[in-house]
Amino acid sequence: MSRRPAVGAALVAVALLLPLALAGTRYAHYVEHLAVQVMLMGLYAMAWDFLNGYVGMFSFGHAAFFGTGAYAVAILVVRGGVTSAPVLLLAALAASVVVGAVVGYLSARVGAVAIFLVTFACAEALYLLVLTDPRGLTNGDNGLAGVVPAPLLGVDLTQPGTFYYVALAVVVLGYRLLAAIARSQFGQVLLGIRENEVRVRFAGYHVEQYKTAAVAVSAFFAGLAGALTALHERIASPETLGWAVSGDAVLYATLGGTGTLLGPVLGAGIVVVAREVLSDLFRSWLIFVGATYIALVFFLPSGLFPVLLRERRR
Amino acid sequence: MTVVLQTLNGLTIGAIYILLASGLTIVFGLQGIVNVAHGVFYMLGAYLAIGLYPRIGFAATVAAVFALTALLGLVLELAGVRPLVRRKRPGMQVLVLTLGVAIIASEVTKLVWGPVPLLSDVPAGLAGTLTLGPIVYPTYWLFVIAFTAVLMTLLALAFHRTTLGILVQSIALNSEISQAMGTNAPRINSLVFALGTGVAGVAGVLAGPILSVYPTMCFDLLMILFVVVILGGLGSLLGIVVSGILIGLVNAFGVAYLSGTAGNILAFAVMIAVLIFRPLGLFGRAGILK
Repeated sequence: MSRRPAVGAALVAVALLLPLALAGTRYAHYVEHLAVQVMLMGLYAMAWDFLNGYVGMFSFGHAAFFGTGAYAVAILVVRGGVTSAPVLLLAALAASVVVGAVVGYLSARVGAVAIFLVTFACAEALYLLVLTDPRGLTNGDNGLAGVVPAPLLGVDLTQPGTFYYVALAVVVLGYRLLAAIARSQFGQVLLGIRENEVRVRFAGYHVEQYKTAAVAVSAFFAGLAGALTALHERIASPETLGWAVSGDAVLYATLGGTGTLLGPVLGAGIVVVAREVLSDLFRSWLIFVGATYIALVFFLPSGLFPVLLRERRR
Repeated sequence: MTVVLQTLNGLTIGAIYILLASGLTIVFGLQGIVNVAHGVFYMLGAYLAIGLYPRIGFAATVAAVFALTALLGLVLELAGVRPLVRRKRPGMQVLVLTLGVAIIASEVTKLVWGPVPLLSDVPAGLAGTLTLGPIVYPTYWLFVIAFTAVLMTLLALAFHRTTLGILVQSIALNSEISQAMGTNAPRINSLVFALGTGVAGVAGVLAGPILSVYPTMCFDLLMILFVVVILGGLGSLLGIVVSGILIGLVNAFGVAYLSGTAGNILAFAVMIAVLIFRPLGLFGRAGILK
């Protein structure tokens, strides 16, 4: 445990220095773009990990929250003409929390494995809704392009360098917040639910309310990652709501190590970079993803992060 | 007339759902796990049927696909699931494992059969239509309904009237006590898992000529399948028959009167409505297989 702050600080230091190290080289733009993807995916996987690692709720529908964040921003910019970044983010967070509360309300009522089914069904329903586009808001298959916010107080998010540091700040803040929530009394009750739901119930806690709130908290951060991703890529596409994105959260977090919050960032870093390399080389690179899942379950069920920390202690 | 036709459509689609969900729900009742790769056996059945049917005929295709998908299911259970069920939170481990299997299977299918949807022929003896008074309906679709009805009846009988069925129920009720009485629960669990994947393979053979056959079909059907299983109540055989028919009907009428995706969205809305009032589903009871 004691190593974790040091690892976190090291990660932040690397992230802070990366643009300086690359400044002026041909790869600066490309690597920064990729690094922002890693950070935002890391935040997204962290949100998933909060739910799985701390409450024991295995979601396979986190794309619902991620996509809600992305689409809330995109719809406001493209359809509503709103360009103020704080307004966009607040609206995206509110929308994600609402979706999270609904999904949480449903998930809190069913057993541990059934949560997988319920969250998956919720995300797929939302995906189909966005694809069908009954109200003419989401532009169906094509998604909404042109998600560009206006500068605010001299901060222009359309500048890649600026976006990089804003994303970094948000991710660090997200980590600190999630860790603080996990340490709080609320978080301790959630841990209790993970360990022994029946005893927590007998102690007088409303387990369903705690679970619903936990899903909403997770949705908040997943939605934040989604909103920033829409601003970063300047598009919200239906794929952000697809099952593959839900699976991504599971992959990043289980690879990095669930219940660690930092592990998922590591997992996101490995997979995002590996995907960038492998998808160019092999058309069927998803086979690697599948193989990673299988290998993790059998050989590394607690993920990379705990293993790395243990080796450092020796 | 459209109402009658849509009802028949709903029953046909519902029949496919029921066949697929039966394996999922019984395995959940026994081992508390969900096999995300269940759809893979369905997909495999559909693809194998395209190659096998012209060569060996329909009945032999059904038998061969059942045998093969059951065997593959057995391999998955023995090599993959069984080592995991003794761990902490086995449900999660099995989800991750079978998700990996499903992703690989889908990609390999794409490599072997190509990404383009394939068409499956209606068996020669069942081609054409049947005229029932004012209604003209494809014979094959009626056959799918009848086949499912017979199979589910046999399954229900096996469940309640045979020694194996009673043993399966005892494991679902309380695995430890059942084993203390001498039941070989792991062996029965493997057997039931394999039977479930075999039935999923047969469902794929039957669904081929009705729904299209393509490499991600093993995922696309999952949402509606999960809805059926949750709505019926995880572990309830009667539940999935009722919810399979219900969701099949909702789907058929949604597609007919609203839009192509409305069927699935409506099915989801029904699931939410039921979950709010009956969190365990229509027929779900903790630890009991019916």
